[in-house]
Amino acid sequence: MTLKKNDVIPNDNHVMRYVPWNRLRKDENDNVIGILGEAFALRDGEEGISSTWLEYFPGNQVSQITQAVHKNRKCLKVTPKSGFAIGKVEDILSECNKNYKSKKIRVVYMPNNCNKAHIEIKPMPCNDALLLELLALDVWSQLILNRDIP
Amino acid sequence: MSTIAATQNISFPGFDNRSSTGSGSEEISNLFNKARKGLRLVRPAHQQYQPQVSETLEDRLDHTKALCKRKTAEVAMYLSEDFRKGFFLQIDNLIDAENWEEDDKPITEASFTTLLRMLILINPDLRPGLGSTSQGNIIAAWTKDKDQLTIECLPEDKVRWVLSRQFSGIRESAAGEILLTRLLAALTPYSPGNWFDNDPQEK
Repeated sequence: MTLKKNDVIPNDNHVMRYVPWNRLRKDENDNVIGILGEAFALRDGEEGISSTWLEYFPGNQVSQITQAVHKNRKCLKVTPKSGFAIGKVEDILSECNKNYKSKKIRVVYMPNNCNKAHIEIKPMPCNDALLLELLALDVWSQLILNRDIP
Repeated sequence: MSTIAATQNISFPGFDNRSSTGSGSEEISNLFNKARKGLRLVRPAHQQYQPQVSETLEDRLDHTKALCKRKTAEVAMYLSEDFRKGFFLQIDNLIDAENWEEDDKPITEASFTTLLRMLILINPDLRPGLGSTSQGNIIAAWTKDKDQLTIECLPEDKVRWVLSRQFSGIRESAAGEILLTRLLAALTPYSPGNWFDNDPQEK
Protein backbone atom coordinates (compact mmCIF):
# COMPACT_ATOMS: atom_id res chain seq x y z
CA MET A 1 0.00 0.00 0.00
CA THR A 2 1.31 3.46 -0.87
CA LEU A 3 0.54 6.39 1.38
CA LYS A 4 1.48 10.06 1.21
CA LYS A 5 2.85 12.05 4.13
CA ASN A 6 0.05 12.91 6.60
CA ASP A 7 -2.26 10.19 5.29
CA VAL A 8 -3.86 8.15 8.04
CA ILE A 9 -2.75 4.58 8.59
CA PRO A 10 -5.58 2.05 8.01
CA ASN A 11 -7.34 0.83 11.16
CA ASP A 12 -6.45 -2.82 10.68
CA ASN A 13 -2.70 -2.10 10.36
CA HIS A 14 -0.14 -2.28 13.17
CA VAL A 15 2.53 0.01 14.54
CA MET A 16 5.63 -0.76 16.57
CA ARG A 17 7.21 1.49 19.20
CA TYR A 18 10.69 1.32 20.63
CA VAL A 19 10.63 0.84 24.42
CA PRO A 20 13.83 1.62 26.33
CA TRP A 21 14.98 -0.68 29.14
CA ASN A 22 13.89 1.72 31.87
CA ARG A 23 10.31 1.86 30.48
CA LEU A 24 9.91 -1.92 30.52
CA ARG A 25 7.89 -3.43 33.34
CA LYS A 26 9.99 -5.82 35.39
CA ASP A 27 9.56 -8.04 38.42
CA GLU A 28 11.80 -7.73 41.47
CA ASN A 29 14.48 -9.84 39.77
CA ASP A 30 14.52 -7.72 36.64
CA ASN A 31 12.68 -10.24 34.47
CA VAL A 32 10.76 -8.30 31.83
CA ILE A 33 7.01 -8.85 32.25
CA GLY A 34 5.48 -6.02 30.26
CA ILE A 35 5.60 -2.33 29.44
CA LEU A 36 5.26 0.69 31.72
CA GLY A 37 2.73 3.34 30.75
CA GLU A 38 5.63 5.79 30.78
CA ALA A 39 6.76 4.23 27.48
CA PHE A 40 3.99 6.24 25.81
CA ALA A 41 4.52 9.53 27.64
CA LEU A 42 5.33 12.63 25.65
CA ARG A 43 8.66 14.31 26.14
CA ASP A 44 8.82 18.09 26.48
CA GLY A 45 7.92 19.70 23.17
CA GLU A 46 6.43 16.55 21.61
CA GLU A 47 2.88 16.54 20.24
CA GLY A 48 2.69 12.91 19.35
CA ILE A 49 4.44 9.61 19.79
CA SER A 50 6.66 8.10 17.14
CA SER A 51 6.40 4.53 15.90
CA THR A 52 7.07 2.37 12.88
CA TRP A 53 4.34 1.16 10.53
CA LEU A 54 4.65 -2.62 10.20
CA GLU A 55 2.60 -3.13 7.03
CA TYR A 56 4.98 -0.80 5.18
CA PHE A 57 7.30 -3.80 4.99
CA PRO A 58 6.62 -6.80 2.73
CA GLY A 59 6.07 -10.37 3.93
CA ASN A 60 4.28 -11.98 6.84
CA GLN A 61 4.11 -10.41 10.30
CA VAL A 62 7.27 -12.09 11.59
CA SER A 63 9.18 -10.76 8.60
CA GLN A 64 7.62 -7.30 8.99
CA ILE A 65 8.60 -7.17 12.68
CA THR A 66 12.16 -8.21 11.88
CA GLN A 67 12.50 -5.58 9.16
CA ALA A 68 10.99 -2.90 11.42
CA VAL A 69 13.42 -3.77 14.23
CA HIS A 70 16.35 -3.59 11.80
CA LYS A 71 15.12 -0.19 10.62
CA ASN A 72 14.90 1.04 14.22
CA ARG A 73 18.42 -0.20 14.93
CA LYS A 74 19.63 1.80 11.97
CA CYS A 75 17.78 5.02 12.84
CA LEU A 76 17.73 5.02 16.66
CA LYS A 77 20.10 4.08 19.44
CA VAL A 78 18.54 0.71 20.26
CA THR A 79 20.05 -0.66 23.45
CA PRO A 80 20.63 -4.39 24.12
CA LYS A 81 17.97 -4.82 26.84
CA SER A 82 15.29 -2.71 25.18
CA GLY A 83 12.08 -3.92 23.54
CA PHE A 84 9.41 -3.06 21.02
CA ALA A 85 5.68 -2.77 21.66
CA ILE A 86 3.22 -3.58 18.91
CA GLY A 87 -0.33 -2.26 18.73
CA LYS A 88 -3.19 -2.27 16.26
CA VAL A 89 -4.19 1.17 14.94
CA GLU A 90 -7.89 0.59 15.62
CA ASP A 91 -7.22 -0.34 19.26
CA ILE A 92 -4.97 2.68 19.80
CA LEU A 93 -7.59 5.06 18.44
CA SER A 94 -10.36 3.38 20.39
CA GLU A 95 -8.55 3.66 23.73
CA CYS A 96 -7.30 7.21 23.14
CA ASN A 97 -10.66 8.50 21.92
CA LYS A 98 -12.68 6.74 24.62
CA ASN A 99 -12.12 9.49 27.12
CA TYR A 100 -10.85 12.26 24.89
CA LYS A 101 -13.59 12.55 22.30
CA SER A 102 -13.02 16.25 21.83
CA LYS A 103 -9.55 15.62 20.42
CA LYS A 104 -9.13 14.06 17.01
CA ILE A 105 -6.36 11.62 17.61
CA ARG A 106 -4.96 10.19 14.39
CA VAL A 107 -2.25 7.80 13.35
CA VAL A 108 -0.52 9.51 10.43
CA TYR A 109 2.22 8.56 8.02
CA MET A 110 5.30 10.74 8.63
CA PRO A 111 8.25 9.27 6.74
CA ASN A 112 11.65 10.76 7.51
CA ASN A 113 15.03 10.49 5.83
CA CYS A 114 16.07 7.44 7.74
CA ASN A 115 12.79 5.64 8.41
CA LYS A 116 10.33 5.58 5.51
CA ALA A 117 7.91 3.62 7.70
CA HIS A 118 7.77 6.27 10.43
CA ILE A 119 4.35 7.27 11.78
CA GLU A 120 3.10 9.59 14.51
CA ILE A 121 0.12 9.29 16.81
CA LYS A 122 -1.11 12.80 17.54
CA PRO A 123 -2.21 14.89 19.22
CA MET A 124 -1.75 12.68 22.25
CA PRO A 125 -3.47 13.77 25.46
CA CYS A 126 -0.87 15.21 27.78
CA ASN A 127 0.56 12.33 29.80
CA ASP A 128 -2.62 11.13 31.49
CA ALA A 129 -1.26 8.38 33.78
CA LEU A 130 -4.37 6.21 33.56
CA LEU A 131 -4.56 6.38 29.78
CA LEU A 132 -0.86 5.57 29.45
CA GLU A 133 -1.25 2.57 31.75
CA LEU A 134 -4.22 1.24 29.77
CA LEU A 135 -2.35 1.74 26.50
CA ALA A 136 0.51 -0.35 27.90
CA LEU A 137 -1.76 -3.00 29.36
CA ASP A 138 -4.37 -3.48 26.65
CA VAL A 139 -3.34 -1.83 23.42
CA TRP A 140 0.40 -2.09 22.90
CA SER A 141 0.36 -5.42 24.61
CA GLN A 142 2.54 -7.43 22.24
CA LEU A 143 6.13 -7.09 23.40
CA ILE A 144 9.20 -8.13 21.42
CA LEU A 145 12.60 -7.98 23.09
CA ASN A 146 15.45 -6.61 21.02
CA ARG A 147 17.65 -9.56 21.97
CA ASP A 148 15.13 -11.98 20.41
CA ILE A 149 15.47 -10.50 16.93
CA PRO A 150 18.61 -11.57 15.04
CA MET B 1 24.89 16.16 59.93
CA SER B 2 23.60 12.66 59.54
CA THR B 3 20.10 12.95 60.82
CA ILE B 4 18.76 9.48 60.29
CA ALA B 5 20.00 8.67 63.80
CA ALA B 6 17.71 11.33 65.16
CA THR B 7 14.74 9.22 64.23
CA GLN B 8 15.96 5.86 65.45
CA ASN B 9 13.35 5.86 68.16
CA ILE B 10 10.81 5.76 65.33
CA SER B 11 10.27 2.19 64.28
CA PHE B 12 8.65 2.16 60.86
CA PRO B 13 9.04 -1.55 60.09
CA GLY B 14 7.55 -2.80 63.34
CA PHE B 15 4.72 -0.33 63.16
CA ASP B 16 1.38 -1.59 61.91
CA ASN B 17 1.54 0.71 58.95
CA ARG B 18 -0.75 -1.32 56.71
CA SER B 19 -3.71 0.07 58.57
CA SER B 20 -4.59 3.19 56.68
CA THR B 21 -7.79 4.41 58.15
CA GLY B 22 -8.80 5.90 61.48
CA SER B 23 -6.18 6.22 64.16
CA GLY B 24 -3.66 4.11 62.21
CA SER B 25 -3.65 6.66 59.46
CA GLU B 26 -3.12 9.48 61.94
CA GLU B 27 -0.24 7.61 63.52
CA ILE B 28 1.42 7.18 60.15
CA SER B 29 1.02 10.87 59.45
CA ASN B 30 2.44 11.76 62.84
CA LEU B 31 5.38 9.43 62.37
CA PHE B 32 6.12 10.84 59.00
CA ASN B 33 5.87 14.39 60.18
CA LYS B 34 8.36 13.57 62.93
CA ALA B 35 10.60 11.82 60.46
CA ARG B 36 10.41 14.68 58.01
CA LYS B 37 11.67 17.06 60.67
CA GLY B 38 14.42 14.68 61.71
CA LEU B 39 15.57 13.28 58.41
CA ARG B 40 17.56 15.41 56.09
CA LEU B 41 17.56 13.15 53.09
CA VAL B 42 18.02 15.73 50.37
CA ARG B 43 21.06 17.93 50.64
CA PRO B 44 20.76 21.69 50.27
CA ALA B 45 21.17 22.94 46.70
CA HIS B 46 24.71 24.22 47.23
CA GLN B 47 25.84 20.76 48.37
CA GLN B 48 24.16 18.86 45.56
CA TYR B 49 26.09 17.29 42.74
CA GLN B 50 26.55 19.58 39.76
CA PRO B 51 27.60 17.71 36.62
CA GLN B 52 30.54 19.21 34.74
CA VAL B 53 30.12 19.99 31.08
CA SER B 54 32.99 17.66 30.20
CA GLU B 55 31.49 14.67 32.03
CA THR B 56 30.32 11.75 29.94
CA LEU B 57 26.95 10.10 30.36
CA GLU B 58 28.75 7.16 31.94
CA ASP B 59 30.38 9.45 34.54
CA ARG B 60 27.04 10.98 35.44
CA LEU B 61 25.35 7.61 35.72
CA ASP B 62 28.19 6.25 37.86
CA HIS B 63 27.72 9.19 40.18
CA THR B 64 23.95 8.63 40.29
CA LYS B 65 24.38 4.95 41.03
CA ALA B 66 26.79 5.66 43.88
CA LEU B 67 24.44 8.29 45.28
CA CYS B 68 21.46 5.91 45.22
CA LYS B 69 23.44 3.23 47.02
CA ARG B 70 24.71 5.69 49.61
CA LYS B 71 21.18 6.94 50.29
CA THR B 72 20.00 3.36 50.63
CA ALA B 73 22.83 2.57 53.04
CA GLU B 74 21.73 5.52 55.18
CA VAL B 75 18.41 3.79 55.84
CA ALA B 76 19.81 0.25 55.86
CA MET B 77 18.40 -0.44 59.33
CA TYR B 78 14.88 -0.26 57.92
CA LEU B 79 15.46 -2.76 55.11
CA SER B 80 16.25 -6.46 55.44
CA GLU B 81 19.59 -7.73 54.15
CA ASP B 82 17.94 -9.74 51.38
CA PHE B 83 15.88 -6.76 50.35
CA ARG B 84 18.96 -4.53 50.21
CA LYS B 85 21.01 -7.02 48.23
CA GLY B 86 18.35 -7.43 45.58
CA PHE B 87 17.64 -3.71 45.53
CA PHE B 88 21.32 -2.89 44.87
CA LEU B 89 21.34 -5.31 41.95
CA GLN B 90 18.25 -3.62 40.55
CA ILE B 91 19.92 -0.21 40.86
CA ASP B 92 22.97 -1.55 39.00
CA ASN B 93 20.79 -2.90 36.22
CA LEU B 94 18.60 0.17 35.93
CA ILE B 95 21.35 2.80 35.96
CA ASP B 96 23.45 1.12 33.31
CA ALA B 97 25.16 3.28 30.69
CA GLU B 98 24.85 0.63 27.99
CA ASN B 99 21.07 0.57 28.33
CA TRP B 100 20.38 4.15 29.36
CA GLU B 101 18.57 6.55 27.00
CA GLU B 102 20.92 9.40 26.19
CA ASP B 103 18.11 11.98 26.33
CA ASP B 104 16.91 10.88 29.76
CA LYS B 105 17.96 12.75 32.87
CA PRO B 106 19.74 10.58 35.44
CA ILE B 107 17.57 9.68 38.42
CA THR B 108 17.35 12.64 40.75
CA GLU B 109 18.26 12.54 44.41
CA ALA B 110 14.88 14.04 45.31
CA SER B 111 12.94 11.31 43.52
CA PHE B 112 15.11 8.52 44.91
CA THR B 113 14.65 9.91 48.42
CA THR B 114 10.89 9.70 47.99
CA LEU B 115 11.26 6.08 46.83
CA LEU B 116 13.25 5.15 49.94
CA ARG B 117 10.77 6.85 52.23
CA MET B 118 7.93 5.07 50.46
CA LEU B 119 9.61 1.68 50.90
CA ILE B 120 10.12 2.38 54.60
CA LEU B 121 6.49 3.41 54.97
CA ILE B 122 5.04 0.46 53.05
CA ASN B 123 7.59 -2.07 54.32
CA PRO B 124 6.80 -4.53 51.51
CA ASP B 125 7.95 -8.15 51.51
CA LEU B 126 8.35 -7.95 47.75
CA ARG B 127 10.58 -5.44 46.04
CA PRO B 128 9.06 -3.42 43.20
CA GLY B 129 10.37 -3.64 39.66
CA LEU B 130 12.20 -0.39 38.86
CA GLY B 131 11.94 2.00 35.94
CA SER B 132 12.40 5.71 35.33
CA THR B 133 10.96 8.66 33.44
CA SER B 134 12.75 10.96 31.02
CA GLN B 135 12.70 13.62 33.77
CA GLY B 136 14.72 11.48 36.17
CA ASN B 137 11.89 10.26 38.39
CA ILE B 138 12.16 6.67 39.54
CA ILE B 139 9.21 4.33 39.04
CA ALA B 140 8.30 1.45 41.36
CA ALA B 141 6.05 -1.21 39.85
CA TRP B 142 4.45 -4.19 41.56
CA THR B 143 2.74 -6.81 39.41
CA LYS B 144 0.69 -9.83 40.49
CA ASP B 145 -0.87 -11.71 37.60
CA LYS B 146 -3.14 -9.16 35.89
CA ASP B 147 -3.03 -6.74 38.82
CA GLN B 148 -0.60 -3.87 38.41
CA LEU B 149 0.44 -1.03 40.67
CA THR B 150 2.80 1.63 39.34
CA ILE B 151 4.12 4.51 41.42
CA GLU B 152 6.22 7.39 40.09
CA CYS B 153 8.23 8.98 42.88
CA LEU B 154 8.22 12.76 42.66
CA PRO B 155 10.32 15.16 44.72
CA GLU B 156 9.21 16.23 48.21
CA ASP B 157 7.32 13.10 49.22
CA LYS B 158 4.82 13.25 46.38
CA VAL B 159 3.82 10.19 44.38
CA ARG B 160 1.84 9.65 41.20
CA TRP B 161 0.16 6.24 41.26
CA VAL B 162 -1.88 4.24 38.82
CA LEU B 163 -3.31 0.77 39.30
CA SER B 164 -5.34 -1.87 37.59
CA ARG B 165 -6.97 -4.57 39.73
CA GLN B 166 -9.34 -7.46 38.98
CA PHE B 167 -12.30 -8.06 41.29
CA SER B 168 -14.52 -11.03 40.35
CA GLY B 169 -13.19 -10.87 36.82
CA ILE B 170 -14.02 -7.19 36.44
CA ARG B 171 -11.16 -4.75 36.14
CA GLU B 172 -11.01 -1.55 38.14
CA SER B 173 -8.48 1.15 37.29
CA ALA B 174 -7.57 4.21 39.29
CA ALA B 175 -4.91 6.89 39.44
CA GLY B 176 -3.91 9.81 41.61
CA GLU B 177 -1.19 12.18 42.71
CA ILE B 178 -0.82 12.59 46.45
CA LEU B 179 1.53 13.00 49.37
CA LEU B 180 3.27 9.84 50.48
CA THR B 181 1.55 9.96 53.85
CA ARG B 182 -1.80 9.46 52.08
CA LEU B 183 -0.65 6.65 49.81
CA LEU B 184 -1.73 3.65 51.89
CA ALA B 185 -5.10 5.22 52.56
CA ALA B 186 -5.61 5.75 48.84
CA LEU B 187 -4.61 2.15 48.03
CA THR B 188 -6.57 0.43 50.79
CA PRO B 189 -9.76 -0.16 48.73
CA TYR B 190 -7.62 -2.17 46.31
CA SER B 191 -6.08 -4.51 48.94
CA PRO B 192 -2.47 -3.46 48.39
CA GLY B 193 -1.18 -6.46 50.36
CA ASN B 194 -1.87 -8.38 47.17
CA TRP B 195 1.17 -6.64 45.69
CA PHE B 196 3.33 -6.11 48.75
CA ASP B 197 3.06 -9.33 50.75
CA ASN B 198 4.64 -12.71 50.13
CA ASP B 199 1.46 -14.41 51.28
CA PRO B 200 -1.38 -11.89 51.41
CA GLN B 201 -3.82 -14.46 52.86
CA GLU B 202 -1.79 -14.83 56.05
CA LYS B 203 -1.89 -11.15 56.98
